[in-house]
Amino acid sequence: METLSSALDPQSPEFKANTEHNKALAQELKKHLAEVCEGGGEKYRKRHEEQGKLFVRERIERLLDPGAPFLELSALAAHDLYKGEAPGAGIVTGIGRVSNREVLIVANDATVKGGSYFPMTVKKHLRAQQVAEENHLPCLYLVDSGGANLPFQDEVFPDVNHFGRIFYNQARMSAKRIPQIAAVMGSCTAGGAYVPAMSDEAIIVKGAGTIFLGGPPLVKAATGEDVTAEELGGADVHTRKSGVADHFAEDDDHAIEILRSIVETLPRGHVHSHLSALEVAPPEEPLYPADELYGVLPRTFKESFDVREIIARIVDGSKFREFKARYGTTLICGFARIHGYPVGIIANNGVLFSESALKGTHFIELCDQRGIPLIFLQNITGFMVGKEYETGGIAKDGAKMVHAVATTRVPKLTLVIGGSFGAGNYAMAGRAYGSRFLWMWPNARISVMGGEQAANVMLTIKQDQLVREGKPALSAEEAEEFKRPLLEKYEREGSPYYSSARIWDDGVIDPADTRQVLGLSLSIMLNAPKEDGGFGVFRM
Amino acid sequence: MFNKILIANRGEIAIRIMRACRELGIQTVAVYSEADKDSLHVQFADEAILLGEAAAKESYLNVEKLIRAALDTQADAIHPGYGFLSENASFAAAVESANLTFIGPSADSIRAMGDKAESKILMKKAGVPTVPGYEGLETYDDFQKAADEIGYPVLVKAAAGGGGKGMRVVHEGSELKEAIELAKREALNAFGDERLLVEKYLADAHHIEIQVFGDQHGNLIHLFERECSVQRRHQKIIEESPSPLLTPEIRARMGEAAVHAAKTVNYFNAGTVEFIFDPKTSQYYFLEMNTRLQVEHPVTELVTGLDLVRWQIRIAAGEEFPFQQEDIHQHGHAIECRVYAEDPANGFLPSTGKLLQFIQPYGPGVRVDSGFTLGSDVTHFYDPLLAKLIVHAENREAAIQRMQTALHDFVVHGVVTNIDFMRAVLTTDDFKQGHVSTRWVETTFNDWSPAKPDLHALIAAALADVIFISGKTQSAVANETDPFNPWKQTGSYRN
Amino acid sequence: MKTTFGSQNIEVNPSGENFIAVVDGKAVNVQIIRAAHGWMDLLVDGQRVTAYVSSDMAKRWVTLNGGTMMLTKTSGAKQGVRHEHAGGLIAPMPGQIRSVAVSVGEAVKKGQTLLTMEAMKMEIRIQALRDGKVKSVYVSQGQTVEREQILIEMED
Repeated sequence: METLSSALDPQSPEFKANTEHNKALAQELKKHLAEVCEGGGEKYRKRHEEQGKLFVRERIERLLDPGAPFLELSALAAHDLYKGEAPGAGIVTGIGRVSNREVLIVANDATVKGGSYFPMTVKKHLRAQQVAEENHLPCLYLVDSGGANLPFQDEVFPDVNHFGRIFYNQARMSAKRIPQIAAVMGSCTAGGAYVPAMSDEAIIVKGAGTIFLGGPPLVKAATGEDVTAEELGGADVHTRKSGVADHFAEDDDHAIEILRSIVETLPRGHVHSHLSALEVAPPEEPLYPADELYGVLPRTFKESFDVREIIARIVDGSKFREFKARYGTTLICGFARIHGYPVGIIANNGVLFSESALKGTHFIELCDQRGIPLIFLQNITGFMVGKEYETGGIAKDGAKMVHAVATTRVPKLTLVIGGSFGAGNYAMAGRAYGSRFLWMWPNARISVMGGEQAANVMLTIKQDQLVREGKPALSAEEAEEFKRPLLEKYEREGSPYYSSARIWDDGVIDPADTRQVLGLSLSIMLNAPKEDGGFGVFRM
Repeated sequence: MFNKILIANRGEIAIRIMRACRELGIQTVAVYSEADKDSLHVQFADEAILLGEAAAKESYLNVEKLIRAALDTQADAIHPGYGFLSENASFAAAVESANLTFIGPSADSIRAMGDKAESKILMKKAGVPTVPGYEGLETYDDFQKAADEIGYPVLVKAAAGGGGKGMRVVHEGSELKEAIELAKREALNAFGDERLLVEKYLADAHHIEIQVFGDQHGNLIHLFERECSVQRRHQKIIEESPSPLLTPEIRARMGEAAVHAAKTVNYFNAGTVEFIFDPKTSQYYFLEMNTRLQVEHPVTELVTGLDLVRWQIRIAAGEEFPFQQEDIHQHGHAIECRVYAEDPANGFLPSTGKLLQFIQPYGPGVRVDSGFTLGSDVTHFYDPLLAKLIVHAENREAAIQRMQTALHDFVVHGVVTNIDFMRAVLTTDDFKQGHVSTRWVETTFNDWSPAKPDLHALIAAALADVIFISGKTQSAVANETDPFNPWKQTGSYRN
Repeated sequence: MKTTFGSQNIEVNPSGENFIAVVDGKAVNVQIIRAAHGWMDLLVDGQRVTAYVSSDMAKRWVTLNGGTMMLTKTSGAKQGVRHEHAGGLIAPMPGQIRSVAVSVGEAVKKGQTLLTMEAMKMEIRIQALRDGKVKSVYVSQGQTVEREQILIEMED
C-alpha cells in the first residue's frame, strides 16, 4: 500500500502558531469536560455519598473491567442550557468493557436535580439506546432518578421521542436479543419504574433503591395510607414479594458485582461475527505523531489544508491506497486501516464539484460491495455554485452521493474536522444520515451556511425588497448593522459546544485522541450483524 | 554531623551525593525544576522541593530559592555538586550567611581561583609553573608584543572563562587581530567580561589534573592524577587514572605542585588542579583550579579506594582528614566514559527524546552513575550526560578490555548516544598507547559515522513491527477473529 | 509485509512457523527463538542473531553486537497525485491569484508555499510537492484562473 508522506515542516512558524491555537481549543474542551465530571457539584455529591451511595462516575469506574477504556457519549449535553443547572443533562452514557464484553451504560446522576429528566436528558438517553440498538450492545441501566422533570413536562412526556420511547426501545431491543439489564441504585419513580420493570433482569440495592408508580406523598393524597418508601417499594419488597426486581444487593458494590456476573454469562450473540470477512491486520502507529494534528489545522476556515496530512496522522502506518486520485480532486477517497480494521475514507479537500460527488458515490458503492466500513472526514463549505455548475447538473450528482450515503449497508462513522455547511453536510453523512457515530473536533463549525454567506444572502434579499418598494438601498454602514446580529447568531450557533449541547453529535473529542476514538468506534460497530438491503434509484 | 543535606543539583551527581548521605544516615532534600518533576533524583530523595521553571536561572541557578528551600526543610548543609552554582563564591557566601554549611571550600578560595587571569598571576608568584603568557593586556600593540615574545602559535582566551568559550588559536601574526576581536566578543557574551590573556599554545598537549583533598585543620594532600585528554569541543569524554605518560618522579612533582597551589589559597575540601602536559618535554603548566567535586571523581575513588563524597561531607562537618600523603596509593587502573545523548556524526549535537530502552552494564569492576532510567525524558534544558560508566581493573590493558565489554552491554534507545563512538576510540592504537592529545578527537575522528544497518538490523527492525507493535505474531492472528481489538487495550482511556 | 527504511526495502512474510525476509532480491529464513520486552533471539539462515529493538513512530532503534543503529521508516511507494498535472501545479478550483511567492529559477523546498489563490472565500496555498526549481510561473497577482489551469511548472 502507498504511504503518505507529509509536506509540512513542524518547525515552521505557521505550524507552531497553528499548534498553539488548536492546543488552546483542546484545553478549552478539557476544561468543559472536567466541569461535567463534577456532576451537580460538591454539596450535592456530599449529600449523595452520605446516603451510602457512590457517585455516578465512580459506579461506572467500578463496573468497568480494570484498565478498560470508556467511550463516553454526549458528555456535553445540555451545555449552557437550563441556566447551566444540568451538567451532562444529569445522566452519563457511554460504551465500556464489562466482563470482557462491549456494553452500553446509561447511568443517572442523582446529584443533578435528583437525576430527573430534562428534555436533553431524554434525548441523551434515547441516543444511547439508539447506539445500543444499531450496534447490538447489551444495555446496562444504573437507575437513580426521580423521573420526568415536572416543569418541562410538555417537552419530555408525550411526543414520539419523549419519555415513553425509552421503554418502547427496551421492549424492541429485548425482542432483538439485545440484553436489557437494570440496577436500581436510587429512586425509580412513576414512569421511571418501568426501566427495571421492562428489563430482562433487574437488581435493587437495599436501603437506596426504590421502585414504585406513586411515591409515599402521592399514596397519602390518593388513599390516605401512611407508608415509608422502603415499605412501599424497597429492595426487600420487590425481590421477595412483588417480583418486580430479581436480585437483592447489599450496596452499590454488591449490585455492580451482580451486574458484572450477569454480563459474564450472556451469550456472545453477533459479536464480531462478520469479522472474518474483514481480515484484521496487526495495527501500526502512523508515521507521524498525533499531536502534529494541532499544527496541520489552520487557525481560520479561510485557509485550506491538504486533508491527506490529517489522514497520514490517523491511519495505520500512514498507509493510504487512494482511489481515483486524479479525478474530482476536492474529495479524497481511499482505503486504509485503523487499529488494524480496514476502512474506506472519504475526506473533503475543497468544495464539491460534480466529479467529486460522482467519485464519492462510486467509492461508497465499492465499500458497500466489499463490506468495508466508511469513515467520513467532514470539512465542507458546500457544493460549487454558479451557472456553469448548475447547468452541468451538480444538484443531481450531489443527490447521487446523498442517496448512496443514505442507503449503503456498511456502517458509517463521521468525524467533523472543520466546517460542516449546507448540503455538503448531507453528502458527507451528517447527523440525519444515520452514521453509527458522529464526532467533532473543537475547531469544527456547523450551520446551514457560513455566517458571512448567510448574512450576505439576507442582505441581498433585503436590498431587492427595498428596490421593489422604491426605497433607497441600505448604505454600507446600514448594511453592516443589518448583518451584525445574523453574524453573531451564526457565530454562536456554529460552535461545536452549541451542537454537542443539543446532541447533534456524539461528542467533541481532542484531535490527538482521534485514532483511539475511531478505533473504539469501529470495534463497537462490528458488534452488529451485516445489514441487508441495497441501493434505490439513482438520478442519472 | 549533619541531620539533613539539600543537594542543589540534578541528575547523576545528585543521586551520587544522596547515596553518600544515606550511608552516613543523613536525610536528603532534592530540588528540581518543572522539567525534572519525574526525574530519578526527585524520586531518590527523602524530600523534594520544586524550584520553578525549567530554565536554570529560575531553578538550579536561583540562589534565593535554593536557600529558602534549605531553610524551609530545615536542612543544615547544601552540597552544590558540580556545574550550576558549585563554583559561585557569592552562593557559597550566601549559604554561610544563612547559617547553613556549604559543602566545599571557602568562598574566598573559590573567588581566588575563579578568575583565570588572577589565579595564574597568583600561581606564578607562588612558584607554580604556568604556561608562558601575559595577562592584563589592553592595546593591540600590547597583544602583538606579547605574542611575539612568547612565539607562535599562541592562544588567546577569555580571562574569566572556561569550557572553550572565548578561545582562539593564532598561528601567525596576521591572524592575531581578528582572533582578538572574535575572542572578545565571545567572552563578553559568555561571561560578561571581555578581558583576554595570551599564552603559549601547546599543540599536542595532554590534560592531566591532580585531585587534592584537605580538611579545615590544615591537612591537605593529593590523591594522584587523572588523564583527561580525550575531549571533544574542549570537553572531556574519557578520563583515566593513572596517566600512561607519567613517571613516578614527575607524578610526585606534579602532586607537590598541586598541593602547594591549593595551600596558597588556604584550600580545604575536594579540589582539582588542572595542568597542561607537554609529552615532548615532560613539562607541566598550571591551567586552572576547579574548586569543587569533578565529574570524573569516580576514577580517583576506584584507584585510591576513598569515597570522595563521603569525605566531602565529613570534612564540611568539621572532621579531620586522617590520611597522610604516604597512606594514599594507586591500585590498578580506572577509566571513565561519559555516555552522552549526543550525535558524534553530527558535530556532537545533543539529542533529545524518551528513553525507550536503557540497559546498564554490570559485572566485576563496573560502576554506572546515572540519573536516568527506562522511560525518562532527555530534554534540551540541561547537560545531556546520560551516565558515567567507570571500570576498574588490575592494569590499563585489562581496564580497556573491561570498558569495551561494558560499552558493548550498554543499550540505549530513544536518543542518539556516543557509545559506539567511544567504542571506536578505545580500539585505536593511539588510545591503547596513550598518545592522545586534547586535539586528537577532532583531528582523528572528523569523519566518523556509525555503522550502516546491515541485513540483520533490517530484519530485526522489520520483525519488530510484526512481533512487538502488534503484540502478537502472525500465527496468533489466525486463531482469533479480532485479536487487536482496541477495547482489549489497557490504560483506562477516557474521552 | 513490505517495509522501507531509508532507501532499503525489506519484505517479511510468515512461512509456516518461521518468516522469510527478502532484501535486495535475496531471501533468508528467519526463525524466532524467543522475543519479549524489546529483545529478540533469532536464527537467520541458521546463524544466531540477538537484537534489542524499540519503536517510536517511524523510528526503529536496533542494537546488534553492542552497536546501536537508528532506522527510519520511509514511504517506499510513490505518493498520490496532488494538484499536479504533467510536471505542473494546477488550480484546484476557479479563483483569483492572491500572491505569487516565488520566481523563475528559484530553488524551493518540499512543502514551501509557491502561491496563494482565493476561491469560494477560501485561501488555497499551492505548495511544492518536492524539492526542485521553479521552471516557469504562468500567473500573476490578481489574475483570475480557471479550474485545472496550470499555474507553475517545476523541474528537479
